[in-house]
Amino acid sequence: MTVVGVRDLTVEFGHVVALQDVTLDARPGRITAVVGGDGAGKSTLLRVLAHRVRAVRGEVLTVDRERLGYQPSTSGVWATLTVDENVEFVGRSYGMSTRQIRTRSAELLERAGLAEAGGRLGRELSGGMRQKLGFVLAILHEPQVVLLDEPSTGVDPVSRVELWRLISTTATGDTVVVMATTYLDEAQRAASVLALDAGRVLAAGTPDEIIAAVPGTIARLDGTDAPSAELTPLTWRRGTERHIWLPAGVPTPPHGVAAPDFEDALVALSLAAAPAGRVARDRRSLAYRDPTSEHSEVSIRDASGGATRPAEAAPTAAPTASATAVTKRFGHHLALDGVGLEVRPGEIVGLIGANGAGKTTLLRILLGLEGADDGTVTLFGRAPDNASRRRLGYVPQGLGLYTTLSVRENVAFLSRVYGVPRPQLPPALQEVRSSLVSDIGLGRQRQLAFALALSHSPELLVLDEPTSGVDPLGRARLWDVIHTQAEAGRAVIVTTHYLQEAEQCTRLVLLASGRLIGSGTVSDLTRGTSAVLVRSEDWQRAFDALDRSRLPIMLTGRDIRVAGTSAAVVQDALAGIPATVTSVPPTLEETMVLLDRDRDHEHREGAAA
Amino acid sequence: MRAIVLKEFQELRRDRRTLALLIVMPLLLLIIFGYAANFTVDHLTVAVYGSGATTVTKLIDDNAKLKDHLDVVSTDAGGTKTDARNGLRDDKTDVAIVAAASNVDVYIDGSNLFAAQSARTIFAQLQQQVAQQAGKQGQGTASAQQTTTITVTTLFNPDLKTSWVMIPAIIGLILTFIGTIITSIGLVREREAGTLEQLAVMPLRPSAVVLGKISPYFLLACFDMALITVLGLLLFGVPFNGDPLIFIVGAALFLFVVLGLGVLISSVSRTTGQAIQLAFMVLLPQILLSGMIFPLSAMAAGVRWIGYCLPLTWFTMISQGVMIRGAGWNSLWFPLVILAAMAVVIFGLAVVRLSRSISPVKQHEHPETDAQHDAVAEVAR
Repeated sequence: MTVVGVRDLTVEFGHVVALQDVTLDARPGRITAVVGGDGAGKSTLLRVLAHRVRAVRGEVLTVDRERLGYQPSTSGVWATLTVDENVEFVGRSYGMSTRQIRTRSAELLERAGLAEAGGRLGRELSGGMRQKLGFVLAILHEPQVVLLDEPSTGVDPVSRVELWRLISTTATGDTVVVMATTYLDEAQRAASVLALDAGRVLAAGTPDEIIAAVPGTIARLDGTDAPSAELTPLTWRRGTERHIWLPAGVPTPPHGVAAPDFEDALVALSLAAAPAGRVARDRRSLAYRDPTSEHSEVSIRDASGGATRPAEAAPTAAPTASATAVTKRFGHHLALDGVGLEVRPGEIVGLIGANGAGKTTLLRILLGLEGADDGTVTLFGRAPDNASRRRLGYVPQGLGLYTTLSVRENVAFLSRVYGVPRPQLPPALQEVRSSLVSDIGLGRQRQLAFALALSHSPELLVLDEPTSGVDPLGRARLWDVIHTQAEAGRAVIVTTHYLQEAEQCTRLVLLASGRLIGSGTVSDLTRGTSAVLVRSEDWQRAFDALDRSRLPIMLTGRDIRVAGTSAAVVQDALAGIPATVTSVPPTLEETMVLLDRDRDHEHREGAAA
Repeated sequence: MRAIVLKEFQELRRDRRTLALLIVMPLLLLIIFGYAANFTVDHLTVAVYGSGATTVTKLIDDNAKLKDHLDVVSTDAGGTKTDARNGLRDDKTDVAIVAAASNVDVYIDGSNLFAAQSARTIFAQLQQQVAQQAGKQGQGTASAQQTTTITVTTLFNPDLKTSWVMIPAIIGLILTFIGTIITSIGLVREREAGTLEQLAVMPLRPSAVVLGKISPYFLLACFDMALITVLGLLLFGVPFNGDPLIFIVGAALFLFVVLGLGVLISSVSRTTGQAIQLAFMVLLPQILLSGMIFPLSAMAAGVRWIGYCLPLTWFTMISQGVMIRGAGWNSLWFPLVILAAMAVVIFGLAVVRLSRSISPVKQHEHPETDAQHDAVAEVAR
């Protein structure tokens, strides 16, 4: 029975349709994830349920404000109040007695690992701690319905695991939990998912149901299975593989059907809903070209206009950019602590870490925008200088476009600055070349920023969080562009807080609060760690038992994953609760949590000594 | 460099706020300083009392030079010195003249600094002329006529101290500052941090949120007002001649107006920067046009009417009237009514806007949802 939800909901802001015919059915005792990119309508949907936005059409079923807990995407923590004051204020606002507040907050802050931070101001908390406090505030009055707006975006892996544990513990009871997220792995762990794309429902159901609901087939391609030009837009890259969505009736390529995961499913569903997908469905043709012909390689149109050189990547090539033992302080804050990084032509180096881990600072030092307190940085073999700027393309997190200028004026400005001819824009941008950048939407803004960064054929491409808040298909497209650049011999550095994007990178550099916690390929990093999967009919009891034993656990649907331990230890902790316990390969996230813990432990011991 | 110059112009063309600042500001400053910034008061209003009142009025009206500067607005042959003082206290005129048979007493309102200075100059010249004439006549026709003596007295602010006039006005300025800038920042900060949204989903009545947000600033402003008033009295020896109750009522009304302005500013600003920019746009004309620096009577009529639209103008009238002249209800009722009207309109509008932005929206009612609501209530129990 639906307790909280909407049926055929439409919301408009002025002329903008924020949600169209959306149906959501959230039930107690499970997490319902609303997944989508920025602008998909996730926040609007939560705000409708929180009595903040009026529906134009459709039914809304929700509870009154006393029984509702809400965490806005900004965490909802008062920055100038201490942790205790935050809790007290929210408790009082919900009419709780001082004693109730005290007992409830003691329990929750303890569970959130914030018990010792009671006197710290909201603004002094790390991003992860702030989000955990925000969650504590949202569930303080034991609401019947909890609405969480991207509680984990940009949060470090350790805090994310803890946050997920807090959320899943809440959802094991009678509470309805609806959470918006841009993380697919997180959505996949939820029991029920609503995928939104530009205000419309892309898919709904359990993750497995969504994977099963993909029309047509998802197939694997390699270099020898080059599809025709009209089918090229239906392909996307997954690490070393390339996948393609084929509408029903189109013959499957020789390499056969892939076992699609949640990400593949959402990309395919987006394609099926897009005009390109409809065109392909109509054509029902798939011509595999002769791999020896010059067009054999699947190539996504280069945003720079196709001025690419053949790959010259050689492992022995001199690094395009390198940083060695870089340390940077801002006042008392140690932003980077002896961090190193190296990128060679043709490589994609992924700089992975939470918000505040020091990714952007490291990039800025590498680009010569910021000086290091200690350590050395080289760019094209020497210290960063004015001349080296001409040879690099940088897309900052904020995109760095002039939003009050038109697309054409932005292009003209950049071409004048670099003294290069104006780049050929992709068709999607050509259509809007006279519009102001502020009016063309986030997706096209990102495309434009890429096109501009590539306009002067840079040797090093530096991308700061290019995929943050982008929907799965958009992310797949951006990665296509990034790979094309690397294949053309450019060195690429990408920062991301999406761990699942690690598979797209040649090498990874993992950062946590300014420290390097690991580097290498995914298999380098996960080697030597272990994980255990627990499957039990009585999963709630199993979860509670493992939670009490303080093992690093993660609820995935109804399964429980335990990182960095052996099956025997888990069996012990389960203390007789019937369950199947199997050793499984660890995920990068689990590895990062363990690495961060070890490092933290060392750090503390070092400080103590 | 050319690329950047070009880009800058393109950006400026699109930025309406900056464009407005570039064009409106110079025009505004030109007009204000051209028409309003004038310390010299050319025209003084005069009331004439006493048995010789008609004679004096005729004398002034006949003397072209005097008539340029003095504008006799009332002539009261039966009036006394007390009437003259009361008239000035009630701010009816700048100057009051009491003409008896042989001596003329001139009273100047010292609370109107620049008018008082002009009046002093005019009457000092007059004194000289009269003395010279008396001398000539004495030599020529040997005491045919009685000599007339002119005594000039400056009331309320005998030394024409600037601080006495400024401090009552500055109290208003400080209240404006706290009311608009601090209040709007306090609200916008919460909007920026996203916590206003948090407040909006809590089971708090909108009125509780609005009052809870505004009362601290109201109290702080009250405290500041008391502090400034007491310090002004102690440090500068500014007198407090009137009824404190009038002052308190006026200040309270004024506070509602400026707090309302602050809340309104916050409701149309998305960032603290925007709020500060707007608050200064509200503050600047009040400093220049409220009469606290440039006398209202010296402004061109159009600009003066802008001044009459600003709350600080009316508060300054009240605070100067009460503190320096000891004016009473009967003369200050009008500014009080104006402030009360402004308070009702501005504060009311602000509270309605703010509470509307944080009240829960009402979804359309559907018959079947009602049934489901009951089911939800069931589950909740």
